[in-house]
Amino acid sequence: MIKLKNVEFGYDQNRKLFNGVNWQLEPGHFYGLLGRNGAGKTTLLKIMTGLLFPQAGEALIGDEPAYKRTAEQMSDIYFLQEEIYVPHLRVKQFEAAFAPFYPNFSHEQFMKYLTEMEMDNMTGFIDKFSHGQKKKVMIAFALATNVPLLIMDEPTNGLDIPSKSIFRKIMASSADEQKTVIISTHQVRDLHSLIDAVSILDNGRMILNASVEVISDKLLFDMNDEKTQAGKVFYTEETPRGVHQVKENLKHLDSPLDLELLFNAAVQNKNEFTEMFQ
Amino acid sequence: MNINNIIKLLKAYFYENWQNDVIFNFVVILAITMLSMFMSPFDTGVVSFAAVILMVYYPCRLFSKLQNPSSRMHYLMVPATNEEKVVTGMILANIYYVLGIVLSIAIGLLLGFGLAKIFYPDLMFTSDLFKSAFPSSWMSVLLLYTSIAATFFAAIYFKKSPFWKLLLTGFVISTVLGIVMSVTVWLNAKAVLPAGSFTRNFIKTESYIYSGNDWFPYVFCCIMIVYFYAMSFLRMRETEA
Repeated sequence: MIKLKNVEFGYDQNRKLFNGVNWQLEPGHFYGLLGRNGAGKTTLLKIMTGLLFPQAGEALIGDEPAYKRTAEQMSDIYFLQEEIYVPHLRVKQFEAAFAPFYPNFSHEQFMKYLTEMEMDNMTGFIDKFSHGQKKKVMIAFALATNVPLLIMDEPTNGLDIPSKSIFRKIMASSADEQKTVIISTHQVRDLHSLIDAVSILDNGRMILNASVEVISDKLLFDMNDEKTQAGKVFYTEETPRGVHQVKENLKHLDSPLDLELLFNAAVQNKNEFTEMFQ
Repeated sequence: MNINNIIKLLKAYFYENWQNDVIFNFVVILAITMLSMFMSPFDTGVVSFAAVILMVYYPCRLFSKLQNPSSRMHYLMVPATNEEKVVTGMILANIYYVLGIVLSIAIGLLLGFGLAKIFYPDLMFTSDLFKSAFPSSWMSVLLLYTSIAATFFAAIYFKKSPFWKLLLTGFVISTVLGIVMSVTVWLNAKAVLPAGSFTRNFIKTESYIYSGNDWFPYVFCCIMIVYFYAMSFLRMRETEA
């Protein structure tokens, strides 16, 4: 559906942010896009959607280059930005103005999501709402568009703790086989229960792009050496509760995926991870 | 190009902007027009000036979403092609807003006349009232549309403070061209050409170019309008978030 082929890009002519990034997204998955600050996560999402143009390589939506930004391409994508812009409109006016652009938009779903996020009684102008309230309205709208590709950049930033739980619940209920969701975030704990594929961007390259299933099959997330086995240890972290480790999963043992450990292990073992998950 | 998308874009525009347009533009020009009826001597120059400024400035408001990254992204992600977005802008700037202003002036003149009639019962309504407020020549209309087209392009090209940047660009270009032409002609006339020669006469005869070619400014304006809108299409296509 979306494909990045050897994408190169830099805001500065002398310093490339991406050096040949390859990334292919399959329908029906929840992707977690992880990376350090300034790794270029938002930039990569903008390139994917044709909002920025790659300096080399290509970004494809379907079979067409993303930079064309055709109406068909755009109506298949909803990009929920981190810094939300909302026009000076009330919720109902916003829906009336922008919902017609999305052929699968559902008014019932929009109202349902607003109700779940306790935003159904808000009658004022959206631009006068708090950051969190704006975000809730836009999350409800984004989900109600029912687009095949939903991109969310730091969606839980600005949400209070109960809202984060509601967000996870709504996201889980909105999943279907045709929909692809990309969530780019630093707050990996918010993603744990949602994602089924992980992509890690580091130093201008995609060092890991694999499903949770494949990752769990190849890596063992162990605490206090409970699951003893031979094999390489990629990362060790000492915490008050004990020692966490990411190891090679030679015996294909089950262990719960820890995104923080995975991320740290991946950035410390770039080449090995790239090879392992190719 | 899909007409449905243009209609959707127009609808979204009106949802967002109708109050601003009605309250801050059409009502203001209507009030200025009504007040102008009480000026002594009666003069619609202020009305025409305000109307022209509003109409020429309008594309800057129209593309104000391009000014900062988050609103620009929102605008670019609206599911319509770049061409549809530019055409929608052209319809709004050249038809909707111009008609809105013209209608406001006409209503203002009629209301102002009605009000003035209370104080001056002898006042007679003549068509001169309308003639004084609206442009008297096709050239003025064409110049207005050329200016709108130039601001339209500037709004997409410069994004931030397009009106002032356009004025500054126009000022710099005309100053530089003026200096180059004046110096060239003056030096040649003084140094090379004797009195009574063609170039000397050219300097003296200000209407020389236009005397036998009245169509030239019309054609020039039309070319500039097409040029600015074509450039707007191309620039919009290249606009990134």
